[in-house]
This record gives sequence, C-alpha cells and structure tokens, in this order.
Amino acid sequence: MSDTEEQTFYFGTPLEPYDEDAFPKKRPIPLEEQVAKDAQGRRRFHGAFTGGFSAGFFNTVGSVQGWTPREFKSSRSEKAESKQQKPEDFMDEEDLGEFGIAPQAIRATKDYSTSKKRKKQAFIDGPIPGEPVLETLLQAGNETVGYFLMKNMNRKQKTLENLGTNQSGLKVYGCAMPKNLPEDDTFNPSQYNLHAIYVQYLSSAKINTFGLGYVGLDKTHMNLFESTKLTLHERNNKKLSISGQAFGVGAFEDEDEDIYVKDNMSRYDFELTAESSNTDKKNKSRKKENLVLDAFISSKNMLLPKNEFPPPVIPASFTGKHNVKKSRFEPLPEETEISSRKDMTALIRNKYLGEDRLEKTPTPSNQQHKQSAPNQVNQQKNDKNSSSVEEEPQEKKEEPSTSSGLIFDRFVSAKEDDDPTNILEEVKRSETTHGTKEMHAAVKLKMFGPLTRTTISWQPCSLLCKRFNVPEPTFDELNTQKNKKRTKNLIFEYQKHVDKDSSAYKPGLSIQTDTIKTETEVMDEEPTKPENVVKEESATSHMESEKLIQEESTTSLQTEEQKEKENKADSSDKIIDLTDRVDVSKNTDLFKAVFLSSSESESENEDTNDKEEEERKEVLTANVVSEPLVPKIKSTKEGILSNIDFSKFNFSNKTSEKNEKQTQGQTESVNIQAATDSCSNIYGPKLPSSAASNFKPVVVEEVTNNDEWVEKDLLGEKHKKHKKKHKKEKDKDKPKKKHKHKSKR
Amino acid sequence: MAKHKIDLQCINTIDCQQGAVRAVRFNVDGSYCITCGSDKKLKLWNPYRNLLLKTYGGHGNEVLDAAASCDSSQIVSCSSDKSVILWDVYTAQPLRRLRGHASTVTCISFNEESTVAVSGSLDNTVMCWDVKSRRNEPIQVLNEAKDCITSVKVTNYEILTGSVDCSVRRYDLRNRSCQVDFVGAPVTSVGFSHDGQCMLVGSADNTVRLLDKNTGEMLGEYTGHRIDDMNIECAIISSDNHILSGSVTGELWCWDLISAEVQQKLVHTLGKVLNSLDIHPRKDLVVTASVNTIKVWGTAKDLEIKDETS
Repeated sequence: MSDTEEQTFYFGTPLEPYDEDAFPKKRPIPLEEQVAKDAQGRRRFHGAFTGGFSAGFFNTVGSVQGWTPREFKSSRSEKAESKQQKPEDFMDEEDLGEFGIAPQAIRATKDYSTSKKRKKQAFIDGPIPGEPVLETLLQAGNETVGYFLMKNMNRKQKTLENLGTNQSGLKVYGCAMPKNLPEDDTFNPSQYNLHAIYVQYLSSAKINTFGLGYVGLDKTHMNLFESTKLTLHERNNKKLSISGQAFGVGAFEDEDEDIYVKDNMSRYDFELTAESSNTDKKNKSRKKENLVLDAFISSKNMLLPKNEFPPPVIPASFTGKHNVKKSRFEPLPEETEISSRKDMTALIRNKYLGEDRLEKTPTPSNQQHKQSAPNQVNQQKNDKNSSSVEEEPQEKKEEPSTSSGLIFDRFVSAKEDDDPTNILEEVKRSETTHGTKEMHAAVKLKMFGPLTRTTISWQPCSLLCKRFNVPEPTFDELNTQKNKKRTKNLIFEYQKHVDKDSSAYKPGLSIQTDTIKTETEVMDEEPTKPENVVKEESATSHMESEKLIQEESTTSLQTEEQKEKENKADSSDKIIDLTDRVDVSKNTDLFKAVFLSSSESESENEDTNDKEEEERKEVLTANVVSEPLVPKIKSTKEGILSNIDFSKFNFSNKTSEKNEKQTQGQTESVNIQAATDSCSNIYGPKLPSSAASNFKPVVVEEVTNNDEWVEKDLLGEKHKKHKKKHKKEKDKDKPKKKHKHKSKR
Repeated sequence: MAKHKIDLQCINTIDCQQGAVRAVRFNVDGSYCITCGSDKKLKLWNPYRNLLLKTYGGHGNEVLDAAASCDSSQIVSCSSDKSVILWDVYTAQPLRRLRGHASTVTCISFNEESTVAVSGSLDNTVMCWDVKSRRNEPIQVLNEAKDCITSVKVTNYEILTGSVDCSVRRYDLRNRSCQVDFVGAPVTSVGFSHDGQCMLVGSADNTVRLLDKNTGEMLGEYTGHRIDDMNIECAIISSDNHILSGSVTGELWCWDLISAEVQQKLVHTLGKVLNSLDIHPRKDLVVTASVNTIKVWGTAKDLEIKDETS
C-alpha cells in the first residue's frame, strides 16, 4: 500500500480540501479586480509574473500628466548649466529600491575593494613607512564568495605575480582555478562531496549571468542537439525555436514554493489555432523525452491501432436456447414449462445454466412446489380480480421489500416484456395509475372511509420516539406488533380471510381437501389421547378449532366453484397495479446476484424452506383458519379505542393454542405447558418428530444447544416455520422476519 | 348554528424581490414570516411593516419550503439542490446542511419541539432529521409512498404526508401505524385542522377535502377553484371555520367549513398562480404568495392593529 502511495505523482496544484459543512465565505476575486499594487498601494504594471515595474502615478511617470518636463532657465545672472541626464531621472523610487532595477545601497567602491587592495601590495609613499595601519583595520566586505570559499579551504592567497601571470587573455567567470596553481597535497578533492546537481555545472563553465540551473529564453535557430522546446514560424517562414525557461511566479500567487522547478516554454500556448500535424508529431516526440515520471518507460513496440467492429446483428429468431434435434426433420421441441422469468427459482435457473450446485436432488415436495408455483400466482391474481369492493383495501397492501437493501424498494414490475433481440430499443414511458379500481370507484362515489383507507403497521425508530416525546416500544411490543395485523372494523373482514386462506396458497384443490380431511382426522383423534394433563384453555381451543374445520370444509367445497368463476374473471381483464413493488422475495436470488456481490446460499435455503413451508401450511390450515376469528371481538365503533389493537389482549391465549396444536401427537406434560405459558413471547415451535420422545421444553433447547450446529439450524428452521404460519395473515412481514431470523442465528 | 362570517381584506403587500416566491411561512407566533425564493435565498420579513429582517443565502437552487423552529432561533429550509439546511436565524449562517435525499426536497416541517425536521422529496421518501445532534443521516426514512411527496405536516405525535400517488399517509407514532387514505387524485397539500381531528387534503382534481382523521370519512368537499396540476396549498383558518385555498387563477378562495359555500374570492394577482399560503397561528390572518409578491390578508380588526403598529 505504502509503495503505491509513494509511486503516486501529482500534477498541478491540489485543490484545498472541501469541507461539506463549510460554505464559501468569500467570492473569488473577479478577473477585473485582480490588480497588482506596489507598497504605496498604487497600481503597478506587471507582466503575468514576478518582476514588473511601476510607472509612476497610475502608470504615468511622476504625475497625472506624466513626465514633468524639466525647466530650462537661463538668465544673465544665473547661467544655465549644461545638465547631463541620468538614467535615474527616468526611474521611480521603486526602481531605486531594494528590488528595483537600480538598487541604491551603500557598498564599497572599486577603490576600496580588497581585491584591488591585493594588487596594491607595493605601498605608496607616505610619512609612515610600511603598511598603512588603517588599511589593515578596515576591510571592505566585497570579497567574492569564491574568494572566501577558497580562503576557508586553506587556499593560500595568491601573490600579485601569480595573478599577473594568470591574466593570459581568457576570461573566466566565477571561481576558476588559476592555471599555475601548485599542486597542494593538503587539498584532496575527493573529500568534498559535491551534490550531484552541481556536477554538471562544474564540468561546463558558466557562461551567463543567470542563477544556477536557470536557462533564460534563448531565441536561436534550429538547435540540432537539444530538443526543441517550442518552435515558431516567423513571417518569412523561417523556423524559430525558442528554448529555455521563462518567467517566475505569478503576481497573484501567494507562495512560490516551486521556484526551483524547471519551467518550460512548451507548456504555454502561443497560438489559438489547432496544432498542425507537423507540430503534433514534434509534440509527441517532445512528450516522450519530457516524461516526468521515471516510473514509466515508453514501450519500444508500438501498439497497433484498434479496429472497432460493431456487434453483429442478432437474428430475430434467435432465442438464446439451443435445441438439440435428433434428426433434421424432427419438429422443434416445444418451449419448456417455464414461461416467464418470474417463475424461475434458483433450482430451475441452475438447471439451465448447468450449475448443479445444489447437491440435493429435488424431492417430490419440491417438484410439487414447482408445479404449484404458477398455480399459486394465478390464484393470487384471481383473488385480486375477484375481490369485491369490500375486500379491496386488503388487497392494496403492498408487499415490502425483502432483505435490508433499500434499493429493492425501487423496483416495479415492467409493463412490457423486453425484446432480447433488440437491446437498444427505447423503453416507453409507462403511465402509472395509483390505487385500485375499487378505490377509484369509491372516490367517485365519495365513499371515503374504510374503502379508501389502508392501515399499515409502521415502526417508528426509538430515537424518533424520543424526539417526539412518545414512549418507546419495548421489545415485547415489537414482537407482537409484527405478528399482529391490524384489521379493520368490518364485519365481513374475517369472512374474506377465510375465503382467501382456503383458496389461495394451496397447490391444488384435491390435495387441499384431502389434507384437510386428514387434518380433521388427526384432530378428531386427538381428544382421545390422554388429556387429563392438558389445561382447560387448550381444550376449549380444540373445540373452537373443530368448529372452524367444519366451516373450512364447507368453504373448501365452495372454493372449487369459486375458482372457476375467478378463472373466468381472470381471463376477462387483468389489471396490474404498476406501482406495486416487485415481490423481490420471489426472485431474491436473482436480485442478489444482480445487486449484491455476496453469494450467499441464503436464497437456496429459503427456497427449500419455502417448500417445507408449503407442507407445513397444509398441516397448519386449521390453525390459521382460527386466526380470522380474532377481529370478531373488535368493536365496530369508532372512537378513542378505535386504534387499539384488541387482538393483542387475546394474544397469550392464542399462542398457547398454537403450542397445543403444534405439539399434538406428543404426550404433553404439565411442565411443558407451564414453561411455554410462562414465557408467552417465545413460541413453542413444533418439535421434530425424532425429538418427539424427548421431553425437553423448547425454551431449554434453545439455550443448551448453542454449540451444536445441526441442532441450532434445526431450531432456526423451526422458528421460521412457526413465523411463517402468519404468512397468510400478514404477508408483508415475511422478509423482515427472515432477516431477523438470520441475525438471530 | 350561526354562520361565521369572514371578511378578509388585504392588509399589506410586499414585493419580495427574490424571483418567484415558492413558499411563505409564518413563524411560531405569527409575527414574522419567511419567504422562499427562486433566487436560492430565504428572506425573513415583518409582513406587517414591510420590513426585511434578514436574508439567508446558501442553497444551490430554488428554495422550496421552510419552517421556523418553536423558539424562533432556527429555520430549516429545503431546496431543489436536494439538501436541507438548518439556519441560525440571528447570524443568518447555515448551521448544518443535510444531504440525504436523492432528488428535489419539496416540503419540510418541524415537529412540535423543533427537534426533528421532516422533509419530503421527489424521491418518494420522507426523511426525519435529528436537528439536535450532529448526525448527518436521517433518523428514519419513510418510504411507503409510491410517488413524489408534495406536502408534509407534523404534529406532536403524527406525521402527515401527501403524495402524488393519490394518497395521504398519516404516520402515528403512538399507535405505530400508518394510515393510508386514497384520495383519487395527486395530493398537492395536506394539513390538520386546529382541533387536530380532521385532515385537509387538497388534490389535483380541483378539490379540497376535509377528512376525518380517525375514520377517513369525508366531512366536506370544497370546489370551484382550479389547481391544474400545480402545487397549490390549502389550509384551515385558525378559528376552524373557514377553508382557504390558492388557485391557478390567482385568487384566494375561502369556503365556509360546514356549508362548503364560497364565502370570498380574493384576488392576489390576477392570472398568476397563487401557490402558497400560510395561516397565522392564532388570528384569522393569512399570508399568500403569488409570483414575486406576498400579501397579508386579515379582517378589518386586524387592519386597525396594523395601523396602530405602523
């Protein structure tokens, strides 16, 4: 990681970190207000870069009017002296300042330079012979740096003669060594390690007056040896190449940190026209040479230009499936039973993809489920269409998204099937109509109220409750809330439940009646079993459930006719509520595969669970049917108590009732009953048949079996099964529960 | 029962000079009002004296709604730039900028204690923001709506949202339920009556309906004005005797609550949409916004008060 960070190169000035909360306090200074000013606050002429000059008063010299012409006065008494014009006359104070073009500072004149003094070894005649004392005391500090360097390096001061001989004509800048320097043993150049960057300057003598490393603009003709930084064409078509480094730091740039960075003329645009191919080529070559990154090397093999071909046109008859025919004349095999993608399960998809990841071979129950799946869908649709005006608010209930992902919320079913042969076809805008037909009808009739009202349970989060000063829901409440469904105060409400529960979700009618019969048989047998230990309430609940079963059987007989009718209705018109969110739970694995990267086997588990669940449902029909009785207790009045869920009060009764049924076939002890009763918020799941002989209370099992994986799983499934019993009652909670269950594990 | 007469007169007109005024809102005691301009700024006014008190700039796009806190120390506003900004009233500095919505935030409201700001957006969600902490994520997202949220009102324990999916949703924190009332046309404006028992629902089928909160039954229907798919607000006056609504034609319609008869039609700017209005929390005063002006309407009594103060 650190290596890669070191390898990162940055170009340009990084922007200051952007603080989300901060607001830009200052506006950027507009271009016209960007004016360079001098120390006196006067406007200053400047190039784009350092240097620049002030030109007097508002860029004039001296005054508003500009130069004040020098007066010429000459009279008889005062003759005008002939005046010599000095450059300073045309200069400003600034130019004479420290950074100006003619800095005025006290410095030793040439007469007092020590270098000159060195020459004047021969003493001038005077009253006092020998070296003048004052001269030994005073020393002008204008010795060259080189001189001091040499001095500090124990170079002996050269004598006049030596210097004299040195003046052989060749002019050398800087601190070149005298030619006839005696080879001094004390000086060992190896002991002075020069920095690498200076070596090149030592090897080649400096011939200009720029600072070290600075290459001024140099307008020369084609330079063969150096890369052309910038080429221009003069008017007479003469090629002109400009090389070197230009400019300094901009007048508005606060920091000039990068003054040592080599600038390059080629970075600037001199033309507004598009670059010609010729210069393009040159630019390319220049770029190659000027690669800043040492980490990259231009490859020797040029990449071949890529030819892009358009994708082939897929023939309209192409379906993506390869049908193997035994002979040419065999008719095309018919489409498989899976008609739409919606009905696909993970198993089927695996089969198609040739990924038999599931080791489990589909059990008969699975197959049954597969066949029943479309049936189910149909039946649900039938229900939707046949639902009368009274029923419709119930139907409107949207099924919330599965797992935690919020994105699943955002899918609605497509109105039209997409054409796989033409991917680029525009998707037509779909018009959405909200609400069901019945709702619209009710609105037209101005029958607002129960017909237009739907009540969803909604859980405010605890912080929201806190902020609103509303008591927070406790855990118990949460649990019951999720398992309860708010029903409306309609007398027919429960009847609807009965109808729906018996007809929907059943794979086939014959099977259904069968199972109910067997169920009733089982139930009939049950009271004959030793019951002296069973509590009173359970007995009453049995009575109740028996009644219900009778009801159920009658209704189930009716359902056949009903179904036929529904089928007719189904064929006549189908209205799909486009706004209904896609039931992601059906295609969880697909959604997961598309939108979630993690390849959990969760979906498969769910699938298999679904099938088991299917079986469970049949077994538990009687139990579920008893549920809709609950609203009966509800008052039909409106008022203070209207929003209170009465079914909650009935809850403890029901759970024990359920416990009773689930553990039927087992001999129950009072202990178990007591245990389950004492903790009413924990439902006693049905014990597996193998564990039937085992009298362990369910609660205990949950605690003790924590370390055994298999048992735990089993337990988890039990929980799931149990919860799914409520599915019919409250389909929408299903995904949440699953999720919950996951976390429990 | 004697009919309640109302005689509203224009007390004051202010040219806000901030482009179109998207919304106008009274503060908690009705002595000031906030206007949300299409020039990305909010302005705080004393509407009775034509006094501009403060300008709040910082939004990146049109400001669509605002609400003042119960202690009048903060303003929360929402904008087309998808953000919600909490302002300090005195310094006019933004305290926090809440980004969470995926689209234009159309409406915003404080709860009773101004601890939570509830915002509705075109992304079909309602978000509850904790104003007291420095959390940048919403406390809770209400994503039951299937279409854009147009209006949000909050009481001490309920959140009422109106959506383009033709439904009014009332989230009850006490009952932990969400009651969805289907109205039949896209809802443009929702509100509670001052006794808290009724919901006022303005919808795009040129109708304002008064619904019973508990049963969802319709108690009154007020028609005559034109909404034409505009986002036009309606409200019940503080005495709960009259229903008010804006109109595309630039009139302020005033109905009797019980008889549903049109009592008054007050012209704000003829031919220009009267899109926003707000009711004085105590008096029978209304402030309306149309294009670039706001008008304060009140009874003759209020007119005298105004004269005294000025």
